[in-house]
This record gives sequence, structure tokens and C-alpha cells, in this order.
Amino acid sequence: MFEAMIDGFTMLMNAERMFFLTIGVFIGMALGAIPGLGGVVGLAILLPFTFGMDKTAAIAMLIALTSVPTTSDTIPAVLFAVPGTVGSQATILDGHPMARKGEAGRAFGAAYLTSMLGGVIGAILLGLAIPVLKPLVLYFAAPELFALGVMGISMVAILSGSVPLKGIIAGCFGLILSMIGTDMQEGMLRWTFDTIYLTDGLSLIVVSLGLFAIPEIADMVIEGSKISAVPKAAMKGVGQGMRDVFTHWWLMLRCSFLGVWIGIIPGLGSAVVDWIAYGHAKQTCKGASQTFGKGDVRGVIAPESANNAKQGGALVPTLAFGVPGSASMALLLGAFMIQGIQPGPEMLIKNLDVVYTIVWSTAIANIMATGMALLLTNPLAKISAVRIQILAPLVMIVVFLAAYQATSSLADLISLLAVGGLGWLMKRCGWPRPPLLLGFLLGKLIERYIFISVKAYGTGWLFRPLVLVIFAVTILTVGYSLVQGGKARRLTRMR
Amino acid sequence: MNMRFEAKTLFTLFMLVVSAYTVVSAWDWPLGTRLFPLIMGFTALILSLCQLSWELYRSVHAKSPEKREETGDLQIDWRMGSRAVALRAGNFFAWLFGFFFCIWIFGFFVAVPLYSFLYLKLQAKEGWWLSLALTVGVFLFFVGLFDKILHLHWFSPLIAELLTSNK
Repeated sequence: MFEAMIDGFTMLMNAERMFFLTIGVFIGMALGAIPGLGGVVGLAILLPFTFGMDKTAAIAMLIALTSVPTTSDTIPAVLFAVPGTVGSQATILDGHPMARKGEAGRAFGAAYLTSMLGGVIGAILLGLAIPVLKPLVLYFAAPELFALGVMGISMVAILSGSVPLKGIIAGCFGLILSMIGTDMQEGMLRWTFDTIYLTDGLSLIVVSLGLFAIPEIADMVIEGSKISAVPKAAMKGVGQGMRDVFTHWWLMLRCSFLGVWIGIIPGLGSAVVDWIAYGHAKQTCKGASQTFGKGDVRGVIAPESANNAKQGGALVPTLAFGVPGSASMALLLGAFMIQGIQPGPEMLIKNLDVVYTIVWSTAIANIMATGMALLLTNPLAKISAVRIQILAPLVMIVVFLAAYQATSSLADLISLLAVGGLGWLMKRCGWPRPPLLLGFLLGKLIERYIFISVKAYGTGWLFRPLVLVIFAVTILTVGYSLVQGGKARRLTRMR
Repeated sequence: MNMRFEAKTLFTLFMLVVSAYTVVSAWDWPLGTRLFPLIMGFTALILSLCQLSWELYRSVHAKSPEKREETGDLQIDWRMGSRAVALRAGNFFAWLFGFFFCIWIFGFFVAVPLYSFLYLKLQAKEGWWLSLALTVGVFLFFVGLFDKILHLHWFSPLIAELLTSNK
């Protein structure tokens, strides 16, 4: 194994291959910073160019491209509350308030460093985990995936602040929204109102942009301010953010492991990883119930470390079993096949050096991306001092185009406006939006796996050991969070 | 009895109506199709009723104005009066709807520079040079990335449809 590790590194250390890896990092960073795009778009564009390319150079470029969008997606999330990719939705909750307080630089510093460390930890765990995790991953069938979906939904209780009832209703509403379209069990159409557009359901990009981007830009325009409510001189810098990561190293490490684990499970979806990490941080960090959502740097560190570490985890089922857990992994699988590499158990025996080239590429790309991002941090932080009236039309154009490219239909824009209006009303009327998004993300998955579980195992699925363990953890998590929430509310009332 | 009906109670009522519609519309679907919508719809309906009852009860019995609830979501600056908020929100959403209708009628290639320039000049009250420079920049970014690199499929705008149908 050690020999293969060295071989993988040696293969990569070549001017041409490093050049293509750098190209991948550049494109990945650009795509992550533009809302609605991301690694899948980049892979789809670059895939045809890899025909005839050197195998290692092509793999390094594509791996770099998929690894780094979760580093640069922090930029629009922190500055405009617009998620760059689905992995940065939870970063908005504390990253954007930090920018409003004049701490955009600090948020960027913390996010970039923690992204890099998360990515490197993900790569290391990928290298170590493939042989060890094989039997465990294969044990994950529909019942376990359903149980994990329920565990994800239980985060609603944590993400609802002091209004759990509204949070649960919003979560149910998100689940209902996810059911729009063709029903997988009977092939019936649900709430499509005789339109073709809705047969595939609402797009995640449209829902997340509508729910967060439009309401936040609207409120900034209404308040007529700059993104940062404090003068330029008071903006705290990058160094502070980086020091924060070392202060909260244990949180970063926990969330990185969490990210790797969620990435390993095919089908759970990269869009939930940041929410689960955020929920975990909110539940376990001291005083989080009072400070999270108001610009607590720990609310940035948790999702950012998890969403970069997830990439390493997602490569485990792709490389070891040839099972892609997401659209980007499916495209990557296609790219490997173009290069004559057949992912699967045999790859671990015959092409272990290629596996380690991938591991090294992931780690190096994350380090390069952080370097690039840090160079851009100070100019980017200055954007927060620009008057919002100048930025608003430019951001809204990007948001509209990002929503339109979801399915290239005018109906995407109608959905965007409808969800945007809903999101703004929810915010103004004191209804939490994260539970709605979480319900929407997990709705289809939960419904699909419960039906498969019942059909395949009857009621027996309920007694599978791993299902029982996941349910027990879920109950303990929710119970603990409710008790802690109650304590926090009592303390607030006493003050 | 002093009842202070708050505007936000209307939103709770909206959630109640949507939940009720979910249940009613899913009622006649086949079992596999309706099971999940009914479970979610009923849960949301019952909880929305509880929430609405609580808000109405509070509006009758509360002696002092209600404290702002901690929703775990992004914060709002509550110092601005609700009338000013409604006016400014109306203005913002009018621009958004204007942009949408412009896209629908003229397509993105006209709507993007038009919206950018008009917003910067009329709403942001910026000078000619900054408005023009930013508009050109945004247009180049839009054409370069979304048209030339990503090759997005553009729908046919209404005006093009009308012109071709008149030929």
C-alpha cells in the first residue's frame, strides 16, 4: 500500500499533469463561485476534452475540478446569502451575518482553511478507508438509507430555534414540495397542474436560490444598506478566521469525519452534508443556541469542513464498487471508463497507484484552492462595503440565470419568484426556512427507501441491527436537543 | 376582549390552507401515491391548527407585545416600520417581476442589459458611466459564460413568436 502511495505521488509530480490539475482547480473555483453551476457542469464541459489526453493528467484535472467548488462556493454564500453550490446552504446562516457585522474576511479565512483541512482529511481517509469500509458500505441497503434519511429530517428539531412547532410544519411543507411530480411507486402525477415542467418536480437549485437568495437580497435592499453594516476599517481579517479554525480544531475534525461518512453512503446526497454538520455543531457547541444564526464562526467551520471532506468519502463507493453516489460521481465514473480504468474491486488490486493518484490529486487541489482563495479574500471582503443598490441588479441577474439553467425553461423563473416570495414571507413572519429546505432535500429519498424497504423486507426491515442503531442515535439526538433547547429558553426568560 | 390580529397570523392561515389542500387533493389517489402526501398533509394540518390556535389565543390574552422569537434563521433589522418595509418590498419585487416580464417578452439578450442599466440608473441613481460600464460587464459575462461556454438553450421570447406568426 505504501509503495502504491509513493507511486501515485510520483505519477502526479510532472509539469504537464500539475498544469492540468491547476486548470481543474481554476475552473472548479470559478464554477463554485457562480451560483447554480458547480462541479457537474464543469465535468460535463471538460469530459469531451479528456479523450486522447494523458490518463493521469485527465484524472488529476477532473478530480481537482470536482474537489474545489465547495471551497469557492463560500464567496456568494457569505457576501450575498446566495449558495454557490448546494453544499454551502448552511454556511449562509452564520457566514452572511458575519459579513453584515464587517467580518467577511474572518468568515472567508475560517471557511477556506477549514475547507482545505476538511478536504485533506477526506483525502487521507479515502486512502485509508477503501479496503476497510468495503463490507460496511455493502451492508447499507434501503432500510439503512431510510433510517439515515429520518436522522437527517430529525435535524429539523435542531434547526428551528425556539419555534419547534413552526419548524416541523415547515419541514412537512418541504416534504410536500418534494412530492410534486411523478410518483415513483404508481407512476401517477402529483400536483403537476397539467404542466410538463412539474412532472420532474421542482429543481433543488431553484428552491434553494428562491428560499435564500431572493429574501436576503430583498431585505438588504429594503434596509438600503451595504452588505456590511459597519465601516470598512472595522472589518476583521483573514488571520483571525484562520486562528478560529485552530481554536475550534476538534469541531473541524468531527465535522470532517461526519462529511466523509455521509459522502461514503451512496444516495444520501451531498446537499444534506452541510445541514447535518451545522445541526451537529449547533447541538454540541457551548452556547450555540444563543449565538448560531447571528454570525458565530463555528457555524461556518462546521459545514465548510464537512462539505469538502465529503468529496473524499464520495469517492469510496465510486472507486471501490463502481457505485456513483451522485451526478458528479457518475460523470467521473464515465471519465475513468474513457481512460480505460474500470472502477470496482479489481481497481483496488490492479490500479492501486491510480487510486492513490486520485487521493493525492484531491489533497493537492484542496491546498491549491485555499491558496488561490486566500489571495482573493481581501478584495472580496471589500465587496461587502459596496452599496447594495449597485450589487442587487448584478446579483439578481446571476440568480435568474442560475435558476434558468436548471432546466432551461421559463417556468424555472416563475418557480424562483414563487419560492422567493414564500421565503421572504417566511422570514418576515418568523418561520424558519432551513427545515423546509431539509424536508425538500430528503423527501424523495425517504419516500423511495421506505417503499423499497417494505416491499423487500416486509416489517423485518425495522429489526435490522444498523437500522436500530441509527434510530436509537436519532432519538437520543432529538431528545438531547429538545432538553438543551428547553434549558436555553428557560435561561433566556430568566434574563 | 382586546384582540390584536397580527399580519403574520395570515401566513399561518396560509400554511393551514395548503396543508388542507394537500390532504383533500391526495385523498382519491392510489394508495402508493397518496400514502406519503396524506401522512405529511395531516401532520402539517394538525400542527398548523395548533399553531393558529396558539397565535389567536395569544392575540386575545397577551398583555404585553410578544417578544421576537429565535427562529434559528437569519436575523432581520426590525427597527424599520412595517409600512416602510411593505413599500420598499413592493418596489423590490416590482423590479423583479419587471425583469421577469422583460425576459419573457424580449428574451435574456435584451432583458439582461436593459434591467441592469435601468436599475442602476433609475433605482440606484448611479451616474451614466458606472451604469454603462457595469451593464457592459454584466452583458459580456452573461454572453461569454452562459451562451458561448455553457451553450444554454434559450427559449423563444414572446416578441419573436409574434413576429414569426405574423409573417
